[in-house]
Amino acid sequence: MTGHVLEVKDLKKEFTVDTGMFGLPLKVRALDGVSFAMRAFDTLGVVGESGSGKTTLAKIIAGLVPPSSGTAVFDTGVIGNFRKDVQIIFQNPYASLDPRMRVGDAVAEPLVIHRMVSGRKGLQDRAAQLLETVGIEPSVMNRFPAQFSGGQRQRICIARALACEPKFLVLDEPVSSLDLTIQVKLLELFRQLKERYRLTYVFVSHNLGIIRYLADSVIVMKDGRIVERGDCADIFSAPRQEYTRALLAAARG
Amino acid sequence: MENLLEIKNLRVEFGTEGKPVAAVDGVNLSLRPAETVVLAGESGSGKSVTALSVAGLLPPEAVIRSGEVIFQGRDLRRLSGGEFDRVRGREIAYIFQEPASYLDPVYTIGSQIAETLTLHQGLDTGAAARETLSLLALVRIGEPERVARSYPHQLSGGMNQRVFIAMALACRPRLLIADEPTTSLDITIEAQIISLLCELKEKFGFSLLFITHNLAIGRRIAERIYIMHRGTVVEEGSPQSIFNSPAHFHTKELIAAYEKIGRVK
Repeated sequence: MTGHVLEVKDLKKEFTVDTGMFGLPLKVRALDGVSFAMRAFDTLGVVGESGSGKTTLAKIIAGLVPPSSGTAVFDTGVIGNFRKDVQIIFQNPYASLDPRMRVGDAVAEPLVIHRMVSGRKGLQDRAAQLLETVGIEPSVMNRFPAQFSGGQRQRICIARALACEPKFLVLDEPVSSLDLTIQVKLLELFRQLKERYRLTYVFVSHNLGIIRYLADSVIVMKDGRIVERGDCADIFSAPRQEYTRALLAAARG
Repeated sequence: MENLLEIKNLRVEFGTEGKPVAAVDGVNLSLRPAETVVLAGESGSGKSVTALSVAGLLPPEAVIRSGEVIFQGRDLRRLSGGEFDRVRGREIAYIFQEPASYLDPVYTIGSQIAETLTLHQGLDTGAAARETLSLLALVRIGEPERVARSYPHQLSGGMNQRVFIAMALACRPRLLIADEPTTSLDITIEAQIISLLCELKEKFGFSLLFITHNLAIGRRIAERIYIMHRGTVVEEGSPQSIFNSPAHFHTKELIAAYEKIGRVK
């Protein structure tokens, strides 16, 4: 027992890109030997520019994409039921919700799948409770996703993830498509939820301001590799790598 | 000094059948020669609609219901289509968030820039080709000959935006409207494009109307900032006054969010 909730060892991922009828398939290396371990109840910020591999890493951790090689292993003492205990929230809430499913049903669906609550009344009450937890008035649970704003839809996705009573959330640019004032409100919600449910977060973002606001430790990625890793405060006050310094300089303008 | 651009009491409505919705309602804005003005606001605040009105690029379902758009002393709304065509592209240039979607995928970069030059400046083919290469060099593209032969899909987002800026500057406009030109780019590339725009502005002395949701850019480049919210301008001032003593509730809310996560200390 190492005290780590997640250990990632030498993760590699190659994608094959079809270049057309006569072109040879092109291999793209999205992850090129990524290793790290993280403590339970921490927020690990993963920062990098587009193409750095941060989303591929998030998807592998959440079990949505198999790695080409390497492992991502959870401590089974904390994560007993992977499918239930590890949840992911994506950047685009418009794409994550079924447009023809009432939001109350969308939130209740995991409860049915994991047989956590049964009976129509029980499901409805729990869905209402979950919506309330994320700041959505439960009386709107019979509406469809299109009737909500982007920020509200992301809250609904969060309620759906929380339905499983997860221990570990992978947040892949969860506020990037939203206005800044809405982003702040959601980040505050993520903070509250973490305290309340003792969650562990992997938070992927291209925005250094958000990483600084939320993360305990940080991984800086570039071209599928970890360029630098450390405590959040150290990365921002004393970056060791040239690339980290360049990113910070660009963000500071 | 006389204003280059003056927008007076502009009202733009969408969905004219049934009940129209005003996306812009009573906007006043001015821009002096060689001035950099940033128009900032969140989604749906009306900042792009205001800018598109100036360039005559509103979508067909939008209607300018009232107000004036005065550019170099003339109300653009009173110009005929032909007269407007001589202003837009030549004196007013526009760059967008997604340059690749405004470049034609089946023509080379070089031929698209050259087309602007032959159309607006009346250059012959040889002169247009030479001028194209010097424009590409102007926007700091390393290998102008190679890029001129490329198609938009062969270039990165940042490179396409440089190409778009080259095209916008082809006719030496008096006004450049930049509508979220760096929003889809990585921050290191964003910083390069912003520096490039500032440098070119110094060199050519055009006025820059920069539309953004990103207050950090406003702080960095603006001489004056307008803050828009729900179709109106809620506050206007220097970056110092907007950031240090915001007056309107919405500006305060924006600055508070910016201080929390928009600004990297």
